[in-house]
Amino acid sequence: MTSAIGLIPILPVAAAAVAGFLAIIRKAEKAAPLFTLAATLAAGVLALMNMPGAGIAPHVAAPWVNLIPTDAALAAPPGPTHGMPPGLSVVVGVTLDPLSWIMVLVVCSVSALVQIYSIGYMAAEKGYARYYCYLALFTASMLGLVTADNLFQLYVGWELVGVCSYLLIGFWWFKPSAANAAKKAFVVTRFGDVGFMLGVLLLVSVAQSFKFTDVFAAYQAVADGSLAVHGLFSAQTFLWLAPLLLLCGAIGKSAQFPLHVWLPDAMEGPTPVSALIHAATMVAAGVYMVARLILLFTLQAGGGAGAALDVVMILGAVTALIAATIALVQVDIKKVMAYSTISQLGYMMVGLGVGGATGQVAGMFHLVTHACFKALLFLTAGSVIHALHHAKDPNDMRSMGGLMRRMPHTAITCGIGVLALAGFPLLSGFWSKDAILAVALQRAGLFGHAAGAGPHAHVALACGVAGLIAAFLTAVYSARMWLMTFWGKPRSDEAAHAHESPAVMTLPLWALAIPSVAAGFLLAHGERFATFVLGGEPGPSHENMALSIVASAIALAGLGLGALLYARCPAVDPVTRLPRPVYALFSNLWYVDAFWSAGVARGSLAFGRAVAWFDRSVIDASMHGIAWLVEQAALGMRRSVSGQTQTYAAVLVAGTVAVVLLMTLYEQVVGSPGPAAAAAGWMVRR
Amino acid sequence: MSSLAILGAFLSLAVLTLFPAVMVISTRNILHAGFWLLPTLIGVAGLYAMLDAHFFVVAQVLIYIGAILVLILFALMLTRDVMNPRAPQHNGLLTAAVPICASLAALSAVLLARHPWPAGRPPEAAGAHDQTVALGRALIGTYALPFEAASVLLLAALVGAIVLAKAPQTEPPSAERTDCSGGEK
Amino acid sequence: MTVGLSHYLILSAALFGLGALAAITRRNAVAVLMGVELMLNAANLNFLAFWRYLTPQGMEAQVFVIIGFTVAAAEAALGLAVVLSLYRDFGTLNVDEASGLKG
Repeated sequence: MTSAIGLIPILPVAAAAVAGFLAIIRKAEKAAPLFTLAATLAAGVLALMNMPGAGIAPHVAAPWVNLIPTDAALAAPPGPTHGMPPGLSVVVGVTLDPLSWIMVLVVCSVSALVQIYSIGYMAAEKGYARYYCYLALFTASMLGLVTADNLFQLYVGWELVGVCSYLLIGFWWFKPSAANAAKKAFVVTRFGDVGFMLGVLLLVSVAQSFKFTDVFAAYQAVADGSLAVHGLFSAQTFLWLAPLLLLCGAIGKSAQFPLHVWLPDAMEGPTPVSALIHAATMVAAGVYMVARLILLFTLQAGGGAGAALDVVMILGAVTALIAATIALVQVDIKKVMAYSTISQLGYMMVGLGVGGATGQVAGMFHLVTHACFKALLFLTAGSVIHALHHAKDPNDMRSMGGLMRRMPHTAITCGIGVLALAGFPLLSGFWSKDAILAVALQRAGLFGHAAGAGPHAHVALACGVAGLIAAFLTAVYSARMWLMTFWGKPRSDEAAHAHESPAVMTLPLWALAIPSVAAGFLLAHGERFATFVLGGEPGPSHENMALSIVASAIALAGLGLGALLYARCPAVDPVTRLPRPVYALFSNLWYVDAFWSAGVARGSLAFGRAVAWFDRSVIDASMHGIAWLVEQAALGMRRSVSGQTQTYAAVLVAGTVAVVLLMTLYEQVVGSPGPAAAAAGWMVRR
Repeated sequence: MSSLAILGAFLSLAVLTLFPAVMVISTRNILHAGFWLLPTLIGVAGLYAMLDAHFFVVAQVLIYIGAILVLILFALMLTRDVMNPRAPQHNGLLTAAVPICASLAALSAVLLARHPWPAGRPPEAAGAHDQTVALGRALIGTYALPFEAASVLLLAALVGAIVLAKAPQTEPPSAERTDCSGGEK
Repeated sequence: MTVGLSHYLILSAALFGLGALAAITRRNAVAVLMGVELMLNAANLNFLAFWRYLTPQGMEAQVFVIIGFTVAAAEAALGLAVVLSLYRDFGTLNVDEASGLKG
């Protein structure tokens, strides 16, 4: 059965083709989910049947592009290759090592649940089959990304999920806001992707291979000094530049500060899409990529502390903190969740920033649990929005309230998700968040000690403390969101007359609620997870009772504060009573969006206008000026063409006299025949 | 012949040549201008004689005066009634052309006079008979080709003159035919 | 003082200038032709003067003068034809009124 795993990304592609065909002929559109769902489940089952064991990773591959040259070229003496490997070949395939396997399961299960849920959510929408076509295409792209064992396939999948994200954000393309959000997501992530591509090219030019293992080996060789780096960079520059360029891609894709601005806007897409792409899977691709290539970041650190890991960690901490504060003051339920997602992605980055297997496990563990509870939260939000879709702004939490009675399933599952997100003790988020805080603080020398390669201790300390603060804020805004939505009395007619969503939508909620609660236990507090990811070796235990108590206390304090402020459903939102500059800072998104639009976008526009002005008034104008000059000269010359032959003769004679006179004067003054006379003499001699 | 007599002859021939040339330019009556050409050509023929170019004295009189000048006078007399003698005979270029042509002549004269030509009396030329024989031999011998080229040029000019002087055939044939036939009847 | 080559050259320069003046300034086409004839005469005079003073044994100058005569005759014949067609096309013999080449 091992060879069948090659079908894992292919089945959803085929299903996407069928759904796309149905979308084009506009017939039997309701049948589209059957195909896509079957394909997604089949891919998941195939993965389950091929679970990687100790040291065994199921693998199928086919050479795709083979750049191996002819025998004659191979026989030629080796010369400079200018960074282009002579025998570079691209192999595509499916590799199920533990990391990939986990991601395949997460992608397939969340995708399948979202597809079931969408049967109800999208029932009244036009473009039903188109929607499923995009979803299946996205699933296929994501599966291709996570099962890659080489940079090339990773990059192709990376860009394909970006395209699918664009298509799905702009699903309601006739809404200008959706079309703009799609463009924004595409353009902003492109900023990071440029860096990512440069990083890939840099690594491949040195390693002469796309394979991860070869890249790691080449990087190690450069670090040892046994492999020279030719080209623009010194070996030292290469060692820190390559990981940071790769990180650029993760910053864009995983919505890290300062490129996080696209993710909240991406909420213009259908809510199930937000759950699948912009919470559970695609935005995690950046985290996955850093986890997959964590060896580069760790090797950069050498045996001690390294700048690359510092950058990863600081970036994650800043993102986690900023996004959490913004989530605190949002009134749009999906925006709260979007900033929450950004914040949690930052958390994952903090975990990865610890470096090595430790950081990899911590970050990936949080990725998995977050995929469960954040998909759950988005789907419950979708359920609420679906119930309120007649309201003027169905996303506005200020017009909700009291939905607990009207929508019990949604309210309870959402409550579970909120508690998991807040890190309520023993729920899934608690374990994974705890793991991240533990590895970060242990790196700083608190609650144990971690030696070896990693970030600087003071960086780890600062980021760990930032993580604790963010955890507190997370608990507060989680409680606020749930209470404003479901508690108290309805604040609008629509909320008062809302109905629970159909079973096809509530069942996926419960299906996601179970792992949200139990994932921590199932994976044995993360230890079994670590053992699995590390290929059978038991990972180092980071459990620390003291830290767990501190983290629990913080989460409970945050939840308690939220409950205290919002349980009575105050008429005025308490967060608006924050000191004015603080509230302004939070509600204006820390002015990051303003910076991009005022500084970068306007700057680009102004630069473009300046260039356009230069083009019009200098380049074009000089062309027009030359044409004008020629025209004027021609008009002037035209008058000389009078048709008066005698005038021509007069001018001819005058010209002859002038030339001869000049030649004579030249000879008189210089004393030798002038150049004209010399030329005439030369011609005569010829 | 004394050199003074030669100088006197040259000067009188120069006057005979240049003064009628001035009159050719300045006289209002175009027919008079044509007649003023006659003494100039005769003066030039006299200069040829002073240069011992016997054949060309005859040729000048025969061709220039006998053929070309007569042709010009024919042209003038044929078109005489077209010309309005009271209208200006010079175009607006006169004020500009006089200095231009004067400077041309002056410049040429200065440059040619300044050149150190061999001084003194010229070597004796061959007699009229020998000279003409030599010219005839040259024209059918060494210089046969230029001579033939000149004769072809003359032939082409004559053919061209006939073509130009013929009535044009550019109008549409049918319309012209009716017009012509109507006009002739 | 003897009559030298320069005398003839100066005389022919003056004759050439007068011919050019006639060709440039006279309105009547036939008068223009007359100016050209004067210029040709000046050229022929130059040829013969050079022959006489510099190469009395050579024949080149004389052959050139023959060609000059031919050109003068051809010019007179063609000129008359041009005058006729000028009159036919423009109804005038004034050169400055026939400006078909005007740009």
